[in-house]
Amino acid sequence: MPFSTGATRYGYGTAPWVTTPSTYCQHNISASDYGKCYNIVYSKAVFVQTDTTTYPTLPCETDNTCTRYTNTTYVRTLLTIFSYPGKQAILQYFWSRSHSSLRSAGNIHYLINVPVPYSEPTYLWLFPAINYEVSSWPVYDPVNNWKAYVNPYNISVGYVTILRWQGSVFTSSAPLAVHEGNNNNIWYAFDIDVAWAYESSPLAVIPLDYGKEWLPYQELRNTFGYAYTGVDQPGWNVDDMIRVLRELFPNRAWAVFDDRQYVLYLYNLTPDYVPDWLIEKLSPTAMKVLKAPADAAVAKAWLDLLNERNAQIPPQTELP
Amino acid sequence: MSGKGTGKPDASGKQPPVKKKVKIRKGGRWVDVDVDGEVKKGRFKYVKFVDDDGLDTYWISPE
Repeated sequence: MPFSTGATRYGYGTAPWVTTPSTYCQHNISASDYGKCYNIVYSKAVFVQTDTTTYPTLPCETDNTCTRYTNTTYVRTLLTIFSYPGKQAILQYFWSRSHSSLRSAGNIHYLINVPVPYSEPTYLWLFPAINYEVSSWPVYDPVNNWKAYVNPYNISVGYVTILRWQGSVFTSSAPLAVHEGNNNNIWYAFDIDVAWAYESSPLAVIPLDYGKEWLPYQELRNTFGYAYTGVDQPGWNVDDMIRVLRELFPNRAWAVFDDRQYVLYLYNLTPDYVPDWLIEKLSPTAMKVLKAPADAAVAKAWLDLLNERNAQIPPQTELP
Repeated sequence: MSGKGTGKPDASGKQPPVKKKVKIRKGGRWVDVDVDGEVKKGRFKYVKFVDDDGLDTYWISPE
């Protein structure tokens, strides 16, 4: 049975294409620039401050450089990378870099503020033994093939931690989560690359909001899996996928890929809107237009969101 | 497959454009189709025609 690779990357303040970003936020409450974030490369950093009386709005919220959370939590789930009910994937690789106000403890089980993809109950499999004490960095755990580095380069405020893991964990879902350890007044910025494999299947190509558009619909969960990429969404039957998508999203643009005939069905789309990278990934023998777009904006919205969630290269201005 | 593009005058007396014929590999056989155009996507080139199912179809070009 052939397998397909799903790969995605996320940037929360930093981005993979910048080797040594100087992103940081000020969390010293005595500082005049408290709550400001600096040198944001991509998207926003994360700031946790529960006191909304003293700090109703942080400067980084005002200038859109952070997402603020007003609750503390032990583990914060930021998003769902993939969720395949009734199907299995193999988590294979991730590389994660974090800039944070908190230093990781010597015990690398508690790598605070470094985002990792995980899946209960395999969560712990990705970590070394709880009492794995280390005295120097970088760390290499040969059992789990886990590498960790602290401060490979320095930033003005805070610490840099990099993790790299390669292996094989069978799972049907993987959220992206950060171990915050119930700390308040913390910040972190990070970027992460994740790769996984899944059994070749027909695919539903439509970027959806996991919590609001995909999860609530039993029909969708019975018909295809979810992936943040909007592409790696394996289903069971092409006809069912088209029928359900027609019913639930008649006014959206979407595509369904038949992995047996290698046909890409387009709805509210024409090939003009299909990005070259998607053609390279799927290599369809044919594209068939189920419905031409009545409104070009609908097709453009599909393309823009798909590109945004599959940003494989940095903006041209960021290239060295 | 599209039957148009024969080059014979239609009811209005106008001469429809002669369509290019292309051989494509479909269902394990070589099939002649009258193409309406070509689209290049990445490394691939597709020819456009109306398939038997009535859908606008873009088939990978053997060229």
